Amino acid sequence: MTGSVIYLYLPLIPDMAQLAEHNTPWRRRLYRALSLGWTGSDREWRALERAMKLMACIILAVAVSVHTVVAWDFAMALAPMWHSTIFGPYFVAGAIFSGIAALIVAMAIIRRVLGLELYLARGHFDRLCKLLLLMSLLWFYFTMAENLTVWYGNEPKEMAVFGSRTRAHYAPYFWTMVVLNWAIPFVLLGIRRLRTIRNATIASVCVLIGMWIERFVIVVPSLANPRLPAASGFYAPTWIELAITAATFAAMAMLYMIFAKLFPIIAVWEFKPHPQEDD
Amino acid sequence: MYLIGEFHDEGALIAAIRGLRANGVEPASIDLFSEEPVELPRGVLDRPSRLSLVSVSGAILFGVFATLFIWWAQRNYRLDTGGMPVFSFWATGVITFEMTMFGAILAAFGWFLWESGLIRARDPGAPVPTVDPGSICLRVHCREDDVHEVSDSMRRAGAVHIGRGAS
Repeated sequence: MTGSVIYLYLPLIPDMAQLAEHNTPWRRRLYRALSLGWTGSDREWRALERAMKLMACIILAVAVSVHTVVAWDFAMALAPMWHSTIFGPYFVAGAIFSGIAALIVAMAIIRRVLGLELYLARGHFDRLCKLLLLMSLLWFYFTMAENLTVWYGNEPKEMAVFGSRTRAHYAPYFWTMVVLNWAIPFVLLGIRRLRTIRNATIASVCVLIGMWIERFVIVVPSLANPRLPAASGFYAPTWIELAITAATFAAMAMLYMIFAKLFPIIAVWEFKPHPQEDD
Repeated sequence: MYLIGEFHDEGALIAAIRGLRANGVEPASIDLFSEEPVELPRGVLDRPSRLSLVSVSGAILFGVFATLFIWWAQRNYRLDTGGMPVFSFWATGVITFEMTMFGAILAAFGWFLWESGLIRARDPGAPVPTVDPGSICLRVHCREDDVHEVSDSMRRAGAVHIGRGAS
């Protein structure tokens, strides 16, 4: 959290120094305080660039460890279909996958709402689409590896979870997840003619929904079919749980909008307008 | 005394800095001001940095501290581990790693603030030029006697405007 905030804050410093010059009084005070008296000298620029490069490396290592630790929380529980050695990289890949999807959706909305067509050009989306496609294939490979070994191993307790996921109560969730995370992105992003900004956004929204369902598919069937048969059952969310889930999405959207209202959503000093391109 | 030269061309700027350095002006007395980072060739106006060293030092410090703290806590607040070791380095490796990275982040950010001069006391008399888009300002700290020499050096290199600032 600290690292992410610092990594976000660093490239904002030069822009906030510019914002401090032309704004309402309270905003001027805010930006002046946050820009720490930035003057644009070469010492400041060089220190900033070095710090950003270093922070990028550190954040990458932290991101891998954070998602791996979450995966280990599951993997060390000995629950059926959680006790897996590939859970660490599976979660890391999933986080990058959904992260890119969220980035594409945010970029598409910001581009349209704020009219940033010259800054967020088609080339940016195209490259992100290729990365999303790569992560989609990687996710599919991990999902295959995870489920194939369980199916081939035929261990009764694991097969109970596997069966409930793929053929029984939770099968609609599982197959919807596969379609949203792999089939739709594969078609929309894999075929060059279809790789437009609109289709990239559609594929990304599918991935976001699919990755949410993935967490449901990982958590619920294993807890509904534990090693103790007496604890077995089915789960359906109550309206309270649905409301809490909706509230978290709303809170995240609100925080993002507040941030976009107060701070430059793209680093002005890093971006230059691109020639007009057709979608 | 400060002199400020305005340049529209990076080649002219590099020539000016080289001229000033040849006349004995120290890199510490030269500052560039621009709206975006200026990439200068190596040797023109190098700013040596200890950011990586400080960051690694912060990481080692926090990593060692985390390991010692865990060791101390596990020895002094013993849990029943059923015959397993009371202190296990690998079982707490995640905490050690996170603390190590935390140390690297804090040290890097702190040193960035120091190295950039953002949290250091500045000369209140040093003028900060207003930079127009596309131009780069060169600020030189010099003695009153050297003003003409420094000014000529910048003009010869291609400065479009040269002005004086308070000392």
